[in-house]
Amino acid sequence: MKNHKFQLIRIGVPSAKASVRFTGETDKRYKRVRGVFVALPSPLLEYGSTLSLKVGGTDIFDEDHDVRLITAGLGVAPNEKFFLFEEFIEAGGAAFEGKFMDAGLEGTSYPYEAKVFLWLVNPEDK
Amino acid sequence: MEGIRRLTKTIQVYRAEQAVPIDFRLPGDAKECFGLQAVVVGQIPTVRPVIPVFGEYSLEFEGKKVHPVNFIVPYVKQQGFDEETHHRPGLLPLSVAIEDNRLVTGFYRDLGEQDLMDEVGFAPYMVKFTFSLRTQR
Repeated sequence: MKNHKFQLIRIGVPSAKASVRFTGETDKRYKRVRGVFVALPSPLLEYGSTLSLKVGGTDIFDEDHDVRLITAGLGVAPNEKFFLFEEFIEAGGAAFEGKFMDAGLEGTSYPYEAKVFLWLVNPEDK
Repeated sequence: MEGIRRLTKTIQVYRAEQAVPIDFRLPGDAKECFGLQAVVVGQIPTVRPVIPVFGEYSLEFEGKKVHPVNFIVPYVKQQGFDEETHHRPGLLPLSVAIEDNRLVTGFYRDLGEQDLMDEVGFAPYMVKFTFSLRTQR
């Protein structure tokens, strides 16, 4: 069995200040959510946008969690882009839900797609 | 069961050099605050791409018994994002045990760094504080 998976959640954002809910399930072949990374098409979009996330019924990020705290620029290596969770967040097919809120700043264009990546691992990976 | 909760508190700043009080209670299951992040949110009129010392804040825990943090908040203009500035704000490490008194108090102060122009005036903005908490249920 593979030990890593980067599960992609695609979120379509139709307009300025849109609030988009998303739901799904983590891949059941992986036991732990190790980290998360949000990729937006422009750095401008990160300024003030928020992402809430709940996995398996547990609040991971609250409603007002700033996207800048869980993203990184192009100059950051892929394996270092992820915000790593200290706590053990069980994956294994757990349901997740969340909400992405666009900040609606001037100078941005719509629609766009926000990509949320969950880094899933099996226990032997720290 | 132990867990981690990330709690965000947002304040609004409406005028230059305003001091905004911070006053709230941590949730009942919080046992330790182990980190803090602060970011400025808003479109600020400035020609400078980065203002390293844009605002400052001070926070006390346990009903003013513990005073672990006085720190600054930078501002990075959206248009100025580049490889040097476009990075995740780091976690300011704290190690504050939360006892019975869950009150967090303090203030954020704007340092008057906006480039004020007559036709624009002061641009209100927000500051988001994210507290990383260990919890016990």
